Amino acid sequence: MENKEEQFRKIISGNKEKIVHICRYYAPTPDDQMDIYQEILMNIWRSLDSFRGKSEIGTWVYRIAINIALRYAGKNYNQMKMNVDIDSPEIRNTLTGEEDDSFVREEQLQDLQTQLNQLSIIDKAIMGLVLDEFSTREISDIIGITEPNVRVKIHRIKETLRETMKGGRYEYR
Amino acid sequence: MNTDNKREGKETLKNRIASNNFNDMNALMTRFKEEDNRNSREMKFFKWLFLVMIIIYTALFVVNPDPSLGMPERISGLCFVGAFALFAVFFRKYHSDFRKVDYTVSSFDMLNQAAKRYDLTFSRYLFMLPSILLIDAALVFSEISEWTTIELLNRILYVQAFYIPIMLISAFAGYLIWRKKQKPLRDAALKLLEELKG
Repeated sequence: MENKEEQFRKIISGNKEKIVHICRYYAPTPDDQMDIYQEILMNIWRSLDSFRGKSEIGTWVYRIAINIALRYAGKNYNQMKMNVDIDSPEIRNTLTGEEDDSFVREEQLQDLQTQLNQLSIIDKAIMGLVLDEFSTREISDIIGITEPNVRVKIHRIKETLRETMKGGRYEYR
Repeated sequence: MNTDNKREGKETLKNRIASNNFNDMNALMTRFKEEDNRNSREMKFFKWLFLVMIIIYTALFVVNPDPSLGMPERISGLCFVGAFALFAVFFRKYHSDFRKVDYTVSSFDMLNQAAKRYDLTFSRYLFMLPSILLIDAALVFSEISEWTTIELLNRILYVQAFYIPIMLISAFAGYLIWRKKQKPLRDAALKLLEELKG
């Protein structure tokens, strides 16, 4: 049976990219991102003894990370920005337009990012999970609301984005 | 911000993680263990502090065979010991409530717990009332030298004239600290909960 240190090492190496993603989604500056990163790792370490394996380890890590990020967002509500990642396949599939031009794609991304930043913290958190390709069931498990409620919220957020981006240069699919 | 800048931002966090030794798991876990030890030391310090106070007060004012030590002083010492014991229990509970915040639960549960933790409810501080009353009694008994009725009444009023304002000022200072530090956190948690429910 592996000890706590080995388990921690394995969890961090397997989920590092996800954690870095969350830090970048929620913190406006590199210093803040680093603070959140440290706190997430610290809390994974502290909570490791209580992990019973009821949920998948990736979801468990994400739950801790989201909760730390939400707590952080509660303290810095006005500064909270959502920095979406252009490399995410979800993002690439999200916007209409056939252009392959990276400049045009960058403009599309900026439009989407501006709209995402207008969303509330919870909606941002849910969109962050959608963009990281979590299923409705996993989002429900992480956030703590029912699956139908998650679906309704995602639908509403997409509707809002579609509405606000309508008539602009690029439209939301 | 263009794509290069974004990639640069992503690299920055990765570089920082690397430069802060966060890639070196041994260094990282040493830091975490130090943090765990620091918390445990902090708890032990307060536990011992209260224990030492209890032992000193018991030895000096309760079981001290000195014949000049009258019954009021001994009762006063006993009240202080009781108050310290209750403070130790209260401190332990308060410390574990704030230290062991569980982030492994769902966001909804975490926000609910945060809203309760940062709330200023009278019932939570009711725990402290017996300790406060015991210290009040201890001060009164320590001031009593003669058991005449008039003297006793004067002494009680004399102690209350100092003790009650000090307690009220302390409570008000506690409220101001709560308003500045904890109320914004409670409000933020409630706001997010409302949003989740909506």
